Amino acid sequence: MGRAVPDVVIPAYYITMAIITGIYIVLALSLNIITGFAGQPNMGHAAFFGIGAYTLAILTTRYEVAYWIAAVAAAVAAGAVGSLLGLISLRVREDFLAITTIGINFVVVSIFLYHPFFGQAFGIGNIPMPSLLGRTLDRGGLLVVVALAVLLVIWISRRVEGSWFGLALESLREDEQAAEAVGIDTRRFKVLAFTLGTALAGFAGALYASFMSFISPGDFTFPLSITILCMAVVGGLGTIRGPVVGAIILSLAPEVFRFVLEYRLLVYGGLLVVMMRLQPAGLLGRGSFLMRQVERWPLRGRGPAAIP
Amino acid sequence: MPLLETRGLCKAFGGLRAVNNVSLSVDEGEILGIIGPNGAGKTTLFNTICGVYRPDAGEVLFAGKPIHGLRPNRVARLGIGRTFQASRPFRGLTVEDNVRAAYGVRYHGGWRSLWGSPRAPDARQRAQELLEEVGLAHVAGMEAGQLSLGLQRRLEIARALALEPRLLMLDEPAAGISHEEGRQLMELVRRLRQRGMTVVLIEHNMQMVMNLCDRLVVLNYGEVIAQGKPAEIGRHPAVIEAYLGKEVAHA
Repeated sequence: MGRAVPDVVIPAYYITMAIITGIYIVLALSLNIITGFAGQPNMGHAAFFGIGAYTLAILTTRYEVAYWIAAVAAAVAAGAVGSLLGLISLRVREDFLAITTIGINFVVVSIFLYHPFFGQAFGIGNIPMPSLLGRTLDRGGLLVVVALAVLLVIWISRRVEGSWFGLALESLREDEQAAEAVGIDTRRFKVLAFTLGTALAGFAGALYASFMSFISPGDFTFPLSITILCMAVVGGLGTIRGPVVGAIILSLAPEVFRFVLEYRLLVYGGLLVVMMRLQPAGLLGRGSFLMRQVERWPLRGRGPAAIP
Repeated sequence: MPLLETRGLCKAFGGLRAVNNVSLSVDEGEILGIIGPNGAGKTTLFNTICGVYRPDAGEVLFAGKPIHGLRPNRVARLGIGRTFQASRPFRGLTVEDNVRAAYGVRYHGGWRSLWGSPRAPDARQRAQELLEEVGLAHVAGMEAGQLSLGLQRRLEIARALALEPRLLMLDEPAAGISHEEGRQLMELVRRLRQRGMTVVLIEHNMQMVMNLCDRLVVLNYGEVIAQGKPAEIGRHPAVIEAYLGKEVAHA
């Protein structure tokens, strides 16, 4: 007499954590295209996440637009506003651009909060889950979609990194004037980087809106932008592994250290300072302590390559 | 028709006329030296020609076509490669990627080609050739920021050459490098000229200028005070005055 095989049930808590982590990975990688590859500061990334979430919420709940069309629209809307920020970045640079992006975050949140069209402080509820092959997904299904989104964004990041496009972004990050001098149209590439990065954040917003089923302006405020930036910086800006690992660490850490939850921003701020001081390239960035260990490992016994 | 020509070029910063009514021309295959005391406006002239600054007045013609007002990347793609006075490689990138970044500009036009790989064999090979040309093939994998200043200067030249320019503009390539490195640099410029490259050179190193240049233009306070063959320039009273002061000129 065989025992009945119990259904494998992943506890809801783990599904929730996995979805949130996945969304953070998408956000950190999308910011990485702008800040890591192209070197443009963006401290308002949550605004584009929010624009995506609101676009999906409004289109699906009020206009009965099909889910995936609304999700694409969310990416397009965020990318469109992001390209405007890209145009701003042609005029305003570095620290001032960073401040401008913070401002954009506040403006976008204020519009959600004060304009009746966006539901004001009540937010927007009853946001549907995505449907696939005629079936509306449950949370487990959404986790699969989020996992696919993570793979998609990793794939896009790899395509960027290994292309002429990525090399152009990196050269403008290293030296804008020199990049111009060798024929790289830095304006065009800045706008492209902002558009691509913010569009992906918008897509993450669409998934988030479904996951929460209810969104309000408070979900997309400046502290979230800093959290996303922290993830990318801690992991290692400009690499792909870095933001992925940074997002995983920083989205799971609050679960482990529940007692510091109240002080989370303080911890993130402190973490940024410590990282800048000790490991400016991030935990897994090029030339970081960990990467040096990893690189040395298979070559143990050989000295460092002779540098002429 | 000269390859490069400026007509009445002016550029002022506030009340300072950094470049004032400069007219000069560079013939195909020539090496033109631009000399002058510090602050004479040499680098500003370079930047105005290359599109970094928009001239207040005057024209810049390249191969007969006006290029003033174009952005630097357009000027570069038309065929003017340049280096910077304070050496500016892409520090965080490898030496090879520095060269490929410039070589890749030809793929930027189309959306599809933009997603092609800089590691494709043809790009690798071309980068390798350019690095061999300037003698940097042995450090191709190194981060550019770690090179010595002399090697950085050569890397900048390789990067400019990757554009396949018709005109190369070098801003004090020998400043701050050793005698031996300077000599090698001179060899390199000579080799490039033999292959038909036109070069405009800003340089303080007089030995280099006298050995290398076919013709010199002397700037002072933003104006051309003399031009001619190197040997004549050395005896020109206005030049001696600009460099050494009035009394010596009269002595």
